[in-house]
Amino acid sequence: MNYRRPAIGAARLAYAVALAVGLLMGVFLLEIPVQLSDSFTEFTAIEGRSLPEIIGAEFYNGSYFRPLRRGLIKIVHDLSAGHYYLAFRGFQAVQVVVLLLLAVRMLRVRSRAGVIALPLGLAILVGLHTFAGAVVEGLPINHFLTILICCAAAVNLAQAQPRPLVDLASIALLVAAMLTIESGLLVWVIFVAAYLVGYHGVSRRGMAALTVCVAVYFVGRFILIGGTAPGLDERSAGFGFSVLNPDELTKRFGSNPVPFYLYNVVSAISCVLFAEPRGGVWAFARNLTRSLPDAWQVVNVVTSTATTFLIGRYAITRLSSWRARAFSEADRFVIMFLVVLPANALFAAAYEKDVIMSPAGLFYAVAAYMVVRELMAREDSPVGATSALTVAPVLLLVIAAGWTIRFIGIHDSLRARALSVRDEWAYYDDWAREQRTDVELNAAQSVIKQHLFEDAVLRAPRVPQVSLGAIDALFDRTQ
Amino acid sequence: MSTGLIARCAAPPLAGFLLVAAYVVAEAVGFDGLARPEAATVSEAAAMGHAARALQLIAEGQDVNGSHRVREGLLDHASHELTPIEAAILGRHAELVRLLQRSGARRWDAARTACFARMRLPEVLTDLGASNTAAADQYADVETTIRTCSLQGARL
Repeated sequence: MNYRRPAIGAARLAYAVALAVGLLMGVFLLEIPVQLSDSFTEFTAIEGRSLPEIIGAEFYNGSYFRPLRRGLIKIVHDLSAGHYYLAFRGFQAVQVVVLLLLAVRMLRVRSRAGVIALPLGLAILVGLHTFAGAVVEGLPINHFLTILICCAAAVNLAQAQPRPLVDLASIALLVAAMLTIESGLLVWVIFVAAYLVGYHGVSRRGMAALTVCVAVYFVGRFILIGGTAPGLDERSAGFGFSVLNPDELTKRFGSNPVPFYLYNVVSAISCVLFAEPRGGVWAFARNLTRSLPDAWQVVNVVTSTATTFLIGRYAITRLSSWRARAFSEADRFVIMFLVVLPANALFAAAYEKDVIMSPAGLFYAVAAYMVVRELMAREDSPVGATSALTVAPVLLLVIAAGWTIRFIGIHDSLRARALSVRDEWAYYDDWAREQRTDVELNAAQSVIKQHLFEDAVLRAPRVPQVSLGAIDALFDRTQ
Repeated sequence: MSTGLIARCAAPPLAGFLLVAAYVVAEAVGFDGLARPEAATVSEAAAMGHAARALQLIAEGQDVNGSHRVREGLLDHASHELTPIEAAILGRHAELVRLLQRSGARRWDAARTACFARMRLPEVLTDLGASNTAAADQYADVETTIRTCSLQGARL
């Protein structure tokens, strides 16, 4: 089969594979009750308030600007008719499926090479540590997962035929993303990157409108509303080989936080490329210097480094074409990844958290898929032997095997999460005591609490934790 | 395209997906070959630190003050008859000791439980109403703890 020939069968097969992967993850997501930490307080915050009231209040939330995040929670909450567990976990499962389908759509799988490379691409997307935070946490709607969908949708819109409707949809998407969480601004970066590499689904006028939206966001948020950026005193953050609490951070960087911000940006980039550091902590390096790293750390670092090497190698071989502004499909996605990565890292400046880098992780997976697809397609073509990009077979095997372990590992983490969330609810009283503000529940909130508690502790069927013996050591259980 | 390239690239992730999917299906029809042991008694749940399972079993009617079997392999190589509080101490789950107290655990063999706590989990001594003196600097293993506390006159 000629890989250039459009093949509807290949596209259908690709969607089927993505759907299967999404549904499988959905099964694991549906085993996890609505979590207590960072989630139950969302229920108490929206209880008894109208949607406009909730969204309006979130415009004035100091260093965080996420009006639609809580609004979406309110909508799902009200539609759930009291079936919170099913509604919120079901919503997250649907989000995962939608994300995978959108991701496959933007890959435009039309060839045998594309289909063969797809399982690896999806394994990278799902098995990447930056993606874990988008599914392991409920919150009760994971806004990072919402942003991932927006990012994938943005590429799809950019790839569309230029029409006024595409421009309008792009503006709506950007506004929704920006008002969900700060990293929604990345959607604009993606539109710009896509435009630069030749995806002109959004017109020049549409691009101008998107840019105006971003300007209005900054003016509105920081000048009109008077919002601020998160300070050092808000949360603990990784630095070097350990985690510093807010007091330590303030003591160390209070007079000049710039070095800390730079550290976080560099760490965030390295986290995507090499799976190290994690959360700003160089745990693999620490273990390497003191004793031996854990097996899962070796798997993560080796797999990510090998994949980064593959992408880097491809980029170097294509530099001359890029200078001539001649882009193949793979080039476009590799360039978009190279643009999104540093832009995304800026959002991790205040504190580095793996999941913040999940949009860059999405493009990392897509770029890796494209390079592997290119490799396969060249192998398929008569000029394969003279292709500029050659890769040692063992490298490809290391990458595929490593991502497979990480793919299985994320499901293992989800299963472990089901157990830990149940235990979290069992300790509700301890949790309530440890909150910075008193958790005083009114009657309606108490009913919700009891409902969620029973869902988690008493009613929900317990799924067993699985053990594969010595193989367990290969799975990252910190995610 | 060479079969070797396909095998190297596509076979591992496909195999991984099929393994996970097959396990989910097998589990749905009753296979539990790879499952970690599930607590059958509230004492087992306490020994394993599974707070939610402990509360679930208490809600189902198991006596939070009674002695229950803890199978071999959960705490050490032997099986034991323990109260949930004792099992939580031997399993070194301080928060669970307090949770069990809040969930109705009122009666325990004071001498034996304090002995367990001194050797395995000194931070709960005050919760148990025992003096926080003569606690071990390093905690002993389960077998040594049970043997020592038995020799000191506590029942087993």
